[in-house]
Amino acid sequence: MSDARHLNRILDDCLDRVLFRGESVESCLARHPQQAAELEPLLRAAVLTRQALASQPQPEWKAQARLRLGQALEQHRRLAGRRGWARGLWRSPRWAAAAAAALVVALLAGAGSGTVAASASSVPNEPLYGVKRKAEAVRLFFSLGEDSKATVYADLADRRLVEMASMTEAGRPREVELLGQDL
Amino acid sequence: MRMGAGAPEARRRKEEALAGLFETHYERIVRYIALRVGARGEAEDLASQVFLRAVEALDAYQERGLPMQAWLFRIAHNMAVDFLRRNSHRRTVSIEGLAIAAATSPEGAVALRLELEAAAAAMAQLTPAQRDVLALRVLGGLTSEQAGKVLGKSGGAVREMQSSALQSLRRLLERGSEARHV
Repeated sequence: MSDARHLNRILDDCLDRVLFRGESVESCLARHPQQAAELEPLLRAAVLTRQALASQPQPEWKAQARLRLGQALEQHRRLAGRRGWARGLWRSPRWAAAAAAALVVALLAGAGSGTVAASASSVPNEPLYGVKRKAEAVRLFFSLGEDSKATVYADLADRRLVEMASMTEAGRPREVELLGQDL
Repeated sequence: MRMGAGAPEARRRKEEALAGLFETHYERIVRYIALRVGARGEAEDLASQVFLRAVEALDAYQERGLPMQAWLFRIAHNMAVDFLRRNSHRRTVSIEGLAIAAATSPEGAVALRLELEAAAAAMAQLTPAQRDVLALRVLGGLTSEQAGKVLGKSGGAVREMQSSALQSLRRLLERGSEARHV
């Protein structure tokens, strides 16, 4: 091994010891007396840099980030649960046939494509919200494969979150609660 | 191989690991991104997005020689790259807003603060690649092998870059020190 590569390995090992295992620079230098003169200024530069940039992020930012992560993990679990539930039902021929019949009836009893498009921005307790949810159910029913269904579920969950935010801003807690049950 | 929905236990373990890493590594990721993009506020927001993106990709994550903490830094690295690409008008990394750790004792407090400011300024003068390696190793706490996986380089290449970066840092610090004592 060349001298340079040998020094690089020693420096790397010393950085791990000094920066993350609580060892002192002096202790590392004592371990490598032949390279000490070269190592010392590099280790001190690393220690100084870490000290200089060791500021703590604002606690309120971390709290917000923790909240967002918690919500995302909760949604992740729910989606995983629904995939498992749906997969179980999907295997049941009776359920699949019944669901198909129900959706066709819903479509026929519902409205045409123009009404479906108009319902896209509707929120709970508005007249077209039921049409919107039926259209989503059809979309989900006809998405094939786990990946496709997971994508649709994720999109629907995003829609519910947007609706919840809208209802929260509008001061409609009952609708927020109903939407939360759908997530 | 993707994890199927038939492994809820494995999924739960990964979720718990990710939540745990948030508590232990959130600050490191903020500092890493702050050094890459040069702005604290954006770094905090991007760090939060790192963990959200990790949740999205959690089912696909497999620890094949890449521990989850290194995987998070890879996400952070890619996010910083995307940010810098979208904000390519930023030519230099600003150290404004990167708070300097205060001296721990009154004696030599001024001298220490000057040293720390000089170290932060010197980091800003390194090349982006050098800054990246040092950020992952010194701030992120990754091993050189793990940093290599984040950067798509071998451990040996990282050790070489690390050595070169610290040599540059040392020269910049010495030059700064000489200038202060003139």
